[in-house]
Amino acid sequence: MTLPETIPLLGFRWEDLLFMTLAAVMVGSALLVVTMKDIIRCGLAMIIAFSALAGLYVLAGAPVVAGAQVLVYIGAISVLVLFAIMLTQTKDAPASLVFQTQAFPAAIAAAVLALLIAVTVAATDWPTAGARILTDTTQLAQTLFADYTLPFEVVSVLLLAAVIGGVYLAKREPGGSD
Amino acid sequence: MYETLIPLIPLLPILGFAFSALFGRRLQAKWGRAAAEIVPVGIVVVVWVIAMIVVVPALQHAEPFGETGLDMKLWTWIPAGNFTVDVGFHVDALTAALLIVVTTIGMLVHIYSIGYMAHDAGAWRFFAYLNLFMFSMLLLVLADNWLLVFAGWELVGLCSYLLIGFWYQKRPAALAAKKAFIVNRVGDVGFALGIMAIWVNTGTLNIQASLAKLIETPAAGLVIPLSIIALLVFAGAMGKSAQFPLHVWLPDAMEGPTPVSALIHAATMVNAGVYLVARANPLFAHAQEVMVVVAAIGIFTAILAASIAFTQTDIKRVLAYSTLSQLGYMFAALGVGAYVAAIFHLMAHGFFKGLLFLGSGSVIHAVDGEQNMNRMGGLWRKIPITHWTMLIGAIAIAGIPPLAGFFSKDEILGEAFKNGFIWVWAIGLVVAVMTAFYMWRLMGKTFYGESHVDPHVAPKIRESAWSMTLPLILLAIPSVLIGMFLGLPFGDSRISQWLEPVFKASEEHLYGSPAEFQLFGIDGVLILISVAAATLGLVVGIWLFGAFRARGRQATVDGIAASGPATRFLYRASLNKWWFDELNDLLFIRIGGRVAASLWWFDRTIVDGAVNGVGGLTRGAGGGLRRIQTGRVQNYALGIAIGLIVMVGSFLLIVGQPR
Amino acid sequence: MFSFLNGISQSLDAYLVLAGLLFAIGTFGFLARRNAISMLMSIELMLNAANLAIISFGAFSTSLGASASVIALIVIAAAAAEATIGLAIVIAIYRNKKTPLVDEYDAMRQ
Repeated sequence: MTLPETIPLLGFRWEDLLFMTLAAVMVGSALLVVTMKDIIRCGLAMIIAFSALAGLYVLAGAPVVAGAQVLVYIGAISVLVLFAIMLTQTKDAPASLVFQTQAFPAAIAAAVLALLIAVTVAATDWPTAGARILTDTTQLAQTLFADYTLPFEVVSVLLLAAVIGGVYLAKREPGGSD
Repeated sequence: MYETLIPLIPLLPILGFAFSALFGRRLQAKWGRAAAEIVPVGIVVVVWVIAMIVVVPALQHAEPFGETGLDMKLWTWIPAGNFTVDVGFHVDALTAALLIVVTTIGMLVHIYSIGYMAHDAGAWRFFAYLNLFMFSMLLLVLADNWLLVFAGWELVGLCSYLLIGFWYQKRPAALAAKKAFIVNRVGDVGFALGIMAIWVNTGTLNIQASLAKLIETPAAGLVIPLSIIALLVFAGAMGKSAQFPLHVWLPDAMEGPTPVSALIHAATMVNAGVYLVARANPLFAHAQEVMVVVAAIGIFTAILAASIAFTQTDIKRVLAYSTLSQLGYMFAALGVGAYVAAIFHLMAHGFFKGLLFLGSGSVIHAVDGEQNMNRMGGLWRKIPITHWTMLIGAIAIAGIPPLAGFFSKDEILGEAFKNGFIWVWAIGLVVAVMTAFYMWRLMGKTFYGESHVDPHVAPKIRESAWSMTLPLILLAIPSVLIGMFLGLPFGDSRISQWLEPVFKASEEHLYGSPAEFQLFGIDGVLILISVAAATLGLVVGIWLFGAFRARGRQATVDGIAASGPATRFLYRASLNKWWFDELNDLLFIRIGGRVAASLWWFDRTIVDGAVNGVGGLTRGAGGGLRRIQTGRVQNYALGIAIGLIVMVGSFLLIVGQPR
Repeated sequence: MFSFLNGISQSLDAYLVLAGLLFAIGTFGFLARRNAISMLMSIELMLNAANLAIISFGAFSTSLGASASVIALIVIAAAAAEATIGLAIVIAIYRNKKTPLVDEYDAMRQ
């Protein structure tokens, strides 16, 4: 049985449905990240947001990046964040105030920013191809290791520096940090 | 020789001042008053001698003075290109006449002060100031350019302030000194403006040169008209010589020691104004409207002051108002063109007024400081030298021939009549009657009749020391003789011969050549009328106030004073000096004070408010802006976000939607 | 019924608007949360939004090709490094000030 082109009742294609679902999940969990009171739950919402993003990357034809997203963001950074939350928890209950006093102006600023970006994007005539381009993995490997060798190596050094710095900063020693 | 002698005349007194100022206190403390006094007094005596040596050839137009006088330039004071002023002296017959008065009376006052200041701890200071005053007055008289005259002018004003306020711990004295200085200042402004006007018009400040240029230039070529310049110069003279309305300081100046009153306010400083107008006579002769003003103010002051002298009880105040009155005579003379008569009266007045003041000082000394005439009386036997010399002075000022006052006063009145100023002559005659009257009132109350002296003081009355009586005698002699010496022969008197070159050009410009003197014509009639007026005043005075043993009729005096509403008003007005001090107080202190207060309010509230407001605004703005610095990163980040939005948004709006 | 949504996943605009929306949410979280770690999570969201934008450009632009993915990978690496250091700093400050709340870090205040 072949699936029809567009979903019968809704009038758009499957891909569109998938896109909108992923988008909704992502935006919803992002909102939860910035608004929830319990910070551990914020961390978990962030993980959900990252997964939805990985799905979107696949939809946009970049499966390698999606994989890297899952590995690095969900597997490493989110765990790191959760560990940090554990280390900096105060003994008492979480603070009563979630938001700063400037939350309201910040909200307005964020909304205006989103609006500006939307308006700019909508008004621009993008010179684009009709359909999505799927990135070939062989092609990607070629580009990354041949054309972009230097940035690749620099990033390695960057990661090294980050590791050393992080260890040094977080060492449990008197006078070792500022 | 004269080139060396003349600069010594002002130089020695200023050295005397420096010496006394530096060493006087210590000398007096260690070796007594005499040690501190010997240098200043000695210097003034020497100056008198030198002046007499210089004066004789100057008056007779001998070499090197000649008719126009001797000009000496000492050095260039202000070399500023176009504006060059020298220090120099100009000595002619007019200078000589003033020199005689200043140095003679100055010397006698210095000698008198030795006795007067015998019990005063500040004697060394007194003599220092006196020497400074001599320097200033001599500088004024000898100067050959207006700026130097102004310097001397200001200095005599300063000395007047220092000397009136000599007993500065007494509040009335300090106030009187301030009043004198301030009222003088008002006149000085006029004089300074006049000097500037002269310079603007002629480009030179040398007196002779500028006057010559002023009268040569036609009226259209002058930036400032001659009459304005003359008025300004006269304004200065009004201040210094206490003419109405700047006369209010002179009576108050009697708070100073009596020698000061004699020297400064009778014989020398107040004559500076007369000297100034006489010096500038070409200027005035070519501005005849101003001459009328001068005559009017002069004769008005004369009668005003005489009316006030009728009721004053302080012996020195009577003499002060008398001085005002006689000064008015001098200005009236200058105003009608009788220059020689004015200078003649200046000289004669210097002698007999100086005599009267010094005599009054002796009287006050004798009655232990009492100055109110109502508490004197019957003194003529107890202080004979003082009495007889003052009697001579009183008769002289009344204008009885052959004493000095008759000659000079009659000449003024005669010239006024002959030059057509009948009103000046008439008022002057009335003033002559009044002068004789109030002078005899003074004599009667002080010396004659029964004694009203305080019983505690009465036994202590005795004649003053020789240092005080000798000057009185020495002054009485010229009071008797100088009239005859200078004023005869009639019609071509010695003094008019001496002063002729100074005034001839102006007199001819005004009136042509002088008429012949007609002793048995108009002139004789005028003389008789003057003498009659003076005698009338004297007789009424003797009848009302007594003479020698005859006592006065005080009851009659009080009766006359209270007889009718008009006389009562006149009595009160006279007693209150016609309320001029109150008028000045109202105008300048009250109203002027309000204006000043409102201006101060304006300055305080609006100007300072604006300035402080700017400061406050800055502080407020700073305080407000300070709150942006919260120290919190998130607030700064919000600022960044807002900035970003604004930039992008404005880019979108202005540049337009991207395509 | 929703036929206007047809082909939405074929258009660049939708992806970009989505990225912008995610970025705005991240900005709001960064500016408004009190806890330092919440701020760092919001920064991660913003970085991800940028990543999404890059990937979507790569999906619809022939000239970019594989470079977009390369850029995205490098961004992910950089984000990881930054998250490490950031969290280490937060922990260090926590040890000093005993609180993870940024509005109590006011040593720069006058």
